[in-house]
Amino acid sequence: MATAPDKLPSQEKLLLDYIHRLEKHKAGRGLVHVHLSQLRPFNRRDQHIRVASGHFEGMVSDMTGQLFTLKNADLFFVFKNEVRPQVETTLQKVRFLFSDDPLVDEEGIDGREFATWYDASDQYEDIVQLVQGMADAEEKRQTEVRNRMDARQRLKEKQKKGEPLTPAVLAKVEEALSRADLSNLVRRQFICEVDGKMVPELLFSELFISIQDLRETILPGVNLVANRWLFQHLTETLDRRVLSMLMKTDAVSISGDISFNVNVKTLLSNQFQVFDDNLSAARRGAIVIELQKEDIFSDLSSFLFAREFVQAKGYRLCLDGLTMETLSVIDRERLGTDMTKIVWHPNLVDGGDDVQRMIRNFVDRDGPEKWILCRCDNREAIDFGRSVGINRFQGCFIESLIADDNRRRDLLKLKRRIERSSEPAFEEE
Amino acid sequence: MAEVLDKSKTQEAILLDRLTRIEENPAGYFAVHMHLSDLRPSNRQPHFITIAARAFDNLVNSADAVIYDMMNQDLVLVCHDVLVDDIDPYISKVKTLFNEDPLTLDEDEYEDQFSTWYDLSAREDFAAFLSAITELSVYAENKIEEIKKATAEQDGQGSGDPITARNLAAINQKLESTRIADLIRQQACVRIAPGKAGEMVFHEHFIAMSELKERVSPGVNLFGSAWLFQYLTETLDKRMLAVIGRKNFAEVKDPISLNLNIATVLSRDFANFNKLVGDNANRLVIEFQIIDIFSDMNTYGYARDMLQDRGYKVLVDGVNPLSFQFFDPATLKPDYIKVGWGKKFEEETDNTSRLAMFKQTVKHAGTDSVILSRVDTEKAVKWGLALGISRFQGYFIDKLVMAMTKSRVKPKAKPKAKQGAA
Repeated sequence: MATAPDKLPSQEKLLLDYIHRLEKHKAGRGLVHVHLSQLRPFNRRDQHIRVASGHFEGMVSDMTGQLFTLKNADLFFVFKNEVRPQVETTLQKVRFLFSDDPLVDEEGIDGREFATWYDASDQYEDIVQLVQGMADAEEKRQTEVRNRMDARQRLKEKQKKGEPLTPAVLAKVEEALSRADLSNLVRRQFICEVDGKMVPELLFSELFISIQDLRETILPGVNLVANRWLFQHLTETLDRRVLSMLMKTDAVSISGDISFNVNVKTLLSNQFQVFDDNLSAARRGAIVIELQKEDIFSDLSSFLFAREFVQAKGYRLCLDGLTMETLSVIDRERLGTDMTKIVWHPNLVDGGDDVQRMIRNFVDRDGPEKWILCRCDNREAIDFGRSVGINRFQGCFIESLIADDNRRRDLLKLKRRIERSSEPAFEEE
Repeated sequence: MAEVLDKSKTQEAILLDRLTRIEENPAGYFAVHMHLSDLRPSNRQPHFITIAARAFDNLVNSADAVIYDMMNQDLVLVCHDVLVDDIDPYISKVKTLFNEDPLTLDEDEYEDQFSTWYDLSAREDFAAFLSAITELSVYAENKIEEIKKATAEQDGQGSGDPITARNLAAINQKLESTRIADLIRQQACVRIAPGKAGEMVFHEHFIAMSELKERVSPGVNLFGSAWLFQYLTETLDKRMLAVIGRKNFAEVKDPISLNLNIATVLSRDFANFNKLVGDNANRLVIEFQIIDIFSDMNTYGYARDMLQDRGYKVLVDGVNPLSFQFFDPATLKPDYIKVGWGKKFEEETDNTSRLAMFKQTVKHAGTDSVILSRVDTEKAVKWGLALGISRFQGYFIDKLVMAMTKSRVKPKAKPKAKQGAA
């Protein structure tokens, strides 16, 4: 996953800085803290936050206010008191964006708030304290991220904070998993076809459990992926939980074609039979099952059987996790999956003409609809994909394209509404 | 797996009972016997058969049709007044499930090895079917006896619990302290050329797993989960390196090969081991498993280059004839590729196209790098030689090595013998 370059100060840091400087100008200013971090996860995706913050843009460019979007999705908006009515209207619009989220309904219950208002001159100390806390938390998180790269730091972190995944911890996690409600750990990412103008067209979405959040929920401080084999074992437990969750479709709002990752072993289990029994034939055609290469090769006979079994039922199969190195080794055609996912990495570009030619040949032969470039976190990934004939993509960058596209559509809608309202009105909405 | 241990309640018995009733008025009845018991063992796993049987769910629910699963894993379908054309799609669905198995290859249009059809209204067919089912029910009764006996025995010594995250910690801890030096076994890999004496390639050193299991966890089936077992091998690697590291490598006669995890090679334990090995890295072969390699190809490449730079030889293990069809091991650029000989090879000897493909792969990988392992018959050696393979390992080779050493020792013991072995 992409992390911002270290040189860029975080929004938390900038906000703290700004608040310190505000001390001299606090008279006549206000601050509103919008608690978007309290939204349900599926309402908290990048594009949602982008749309929400976009609403403040007008005042930012008028220099009547300053917006900060924090890592946890919360918004802080500092404004001059004379535009307070405008801020209130904007906030109303943002609230409207999330009107289907319980956070809006629950407002006022147990002191839950969609937004908290502060007066800069009266409550300056409260503001400083709040913002300082946020900045501290972010710094702690950032050190955590950076530490993953650094052995010495990692050791220090371990001594300070917690254990790697050991059998004993694994047993605890598995037990916790059997009780935990995973529905709020489900994340969704879209696979899109992207045209030359960078307009994404949604094809299907991958559902996955956020391992990071899972860790935070179940056993903070334990690195679940630290041991490959134990983690693989854990995924088998997760598979079963995901399947049973998918059966209760109301647990997650799923629409359209979906994909999810499972182990071959899971496909041959009773759990999957039950899952399958509960699906209509039409729905099976809307499901893509993603399999990892190492899992496939750990028991080829089982894979081959499972492949025939699920494909005959109408599911589509996707071979996941191919890299530049594995592409040339594995005979994908013989494996007979319906799609293949390549993990984006800059080394694909560094590989030069040979690598590009190899991928282009594959894509030409199988057809572009069978290839997906995933984990695209920047424009370079898309450019590379297009240069070798791939036009299906997945990743953070795609999520932001979707957000941009939605925003554009929202604006168009708004424009149309304005045009309509300037015409003589016959009825009210 | 049918857990019915009452002989009168087996599917076979139920089917026989039904046949006596059908016999009174057999019009419109027919049966299809699917010979899943003839599938290769790897395709005959109980959950495969369950899934195959469930492929008939729709038919059974919508027509007068019943599916019986036999103790030997065959499936029998009995229908009444159903169109054959309506049955065909179901049979072919099951067939495609196993389309990697030679049983479903329709080499001869007139002879279907996968299924046998019986028109139960024809006297001759009825008799043939009845005798086939009688035979199956005899098999079932014997099988039940066997199972009963086996469970009784197992109860005596405590059954094999599966390995889980719960008992893993204790087992792992035990592995860290249990004596293993005396459990290390050796097996020779020998180069054979027609008309010449065998030449030692290396001695693989490995831990006798069944004995280790008895020592650390007699009640637990260590091999029940591929991933958890793999986890334990990481601990074993460290123990193994400590024991092997005590050897004087300068004086080791034949190269030593060790099975290690890629992660182990990048660990401190291996760095220490490497110091002990010193300039003798060329006396060592490091074996990696395919499943380990595939889970992180990048790290494999890194580990391979590092080992080869220092003079070690790298061997890719865990390849079988099936996996050979799905990836090209030569692209992994190891020094050796070890292919496990199995019954499958024998079955494939008459499949010329696969044989030709395999020959091509061996050639591509370099005939000098392929090792045929688990060689237990002379036939296997001949088969390998025909493909251009010259390096072998397995029980049959062990016998050969014993003969080799004897013939080498003999001339020494009797210096006046006519002529020493070459």
